[in-house]
Amino acid sequence: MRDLEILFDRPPASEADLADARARFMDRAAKSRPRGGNRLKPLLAALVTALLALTAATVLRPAPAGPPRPPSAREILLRAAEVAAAQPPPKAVPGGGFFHVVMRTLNVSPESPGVVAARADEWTPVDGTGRWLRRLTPLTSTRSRAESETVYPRMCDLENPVVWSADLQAELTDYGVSRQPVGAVSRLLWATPPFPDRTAQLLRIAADLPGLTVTRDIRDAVGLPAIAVGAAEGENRVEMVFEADTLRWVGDRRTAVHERGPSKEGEVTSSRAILSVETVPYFPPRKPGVARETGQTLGPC
Amino acid sequence: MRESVVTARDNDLVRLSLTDPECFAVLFDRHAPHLHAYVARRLGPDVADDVVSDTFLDAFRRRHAYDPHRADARPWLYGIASNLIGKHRRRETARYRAYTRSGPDETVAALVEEGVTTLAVNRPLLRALAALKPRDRDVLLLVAWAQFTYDEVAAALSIPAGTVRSRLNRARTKVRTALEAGDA
Repeated sequence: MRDLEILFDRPPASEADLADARARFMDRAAKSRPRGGNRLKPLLAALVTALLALTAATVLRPAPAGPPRPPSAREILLRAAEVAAAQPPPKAVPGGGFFHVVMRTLNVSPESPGVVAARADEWTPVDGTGRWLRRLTPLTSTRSRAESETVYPRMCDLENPVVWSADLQAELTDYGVSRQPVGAVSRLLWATPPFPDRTAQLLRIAADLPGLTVTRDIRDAVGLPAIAVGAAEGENRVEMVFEADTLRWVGDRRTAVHERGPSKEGEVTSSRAILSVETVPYFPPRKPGVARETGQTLGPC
Repeated sequence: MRESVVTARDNDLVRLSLTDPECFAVLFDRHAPHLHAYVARRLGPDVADDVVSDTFLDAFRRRHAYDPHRADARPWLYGIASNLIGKHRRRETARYRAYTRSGPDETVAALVEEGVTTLAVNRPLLRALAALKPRDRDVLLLVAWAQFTYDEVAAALSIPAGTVRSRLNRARTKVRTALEAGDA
């Protein structure tokens, strides 16, 4: 079969070879709409499914049985921990490089009506030492917010999983786990996307917290179907958010427990979702037209 | 993003592209070079541009349905490409047959023109490839030219792994028989 393997063998196409195909794809993709616009299809499918179910129920007459019990908060968290543990960490690049984490945030803002959406990019050193960068790109126009870049001279220990203790108790205590356990776990989770083992460890810890409840059929900050687990802590219900189908941890959200300011009871006041995690070889240059400021280390250290 | 060595997993990129469509271009830059070479081996370089462009456009439009468990998008992309190659079935077999008919000098000239690295063709092998059922040829060439595992071929063509094995065995037997007959 060696003859077959070398038949018409050729090197991968170069950037120049692909220039036309890429330009054509980008142009058509920009004009395209997702497939599945036929609104009749789901209705017909639902109708057929309902008829089949009705026929089966009539013919087979199964013994009465209740619906399957939905998973508990603890079961969801333990399953999510397994999913996290199975995820590979981002690929390494020569010289260490930087983790680049992209997230989307939604916040109720007193400055503008409705919800303010933003994209946040963070570049943190893979070895946990040295400067890091946060770039904030508003996706909703507001009077006071413009695209910004802030360089922090070093990472706060609580935001740097490289230096965390093995059992995480010191970090959880520093974040006030006794007063706001879900908030403390959530804040630590936010630093772990490049460290899936740490994500899994925190979710297992969360599974043992008392009083957690599940909120089903929600949307995450990206707008994808999700499920949330959390508890009321202070003025807010604080929740960890998971992809509905995979139970992969994707972020967190807060909802108002009482009417306060622009938020009504039960309304989402903030929501965040991780969009991607990658490793890049160098610190990003300043984006043209965007001022880069020097910031103070965030949070308790 | 294009200036950096992007190492996000394919499923993360697909997810990211739901809100930031330009991220799909990273998938193009990552997989198009090898996909283009694969399509060019099957259909010739002049058609490969169109098939690659159409493959990524089709994938982009279906990205909402991408299985988020699959970190590697290659089976998904090559599956779409295989369907598109299927629409050029006659062109593919005509290409193999044309090489079986051309003389040695013409063959070398055509291969140089195509930009291939191995300036030799085995005519019985080409005849066997042209005679294979398209679905068997898809399996054989995904394994031989795209270096797919059985599971990846199964995912690409949406068929069970057992079917991959049986189609591959059938294709290999036919090719081996043709090569032995050619040698005799």
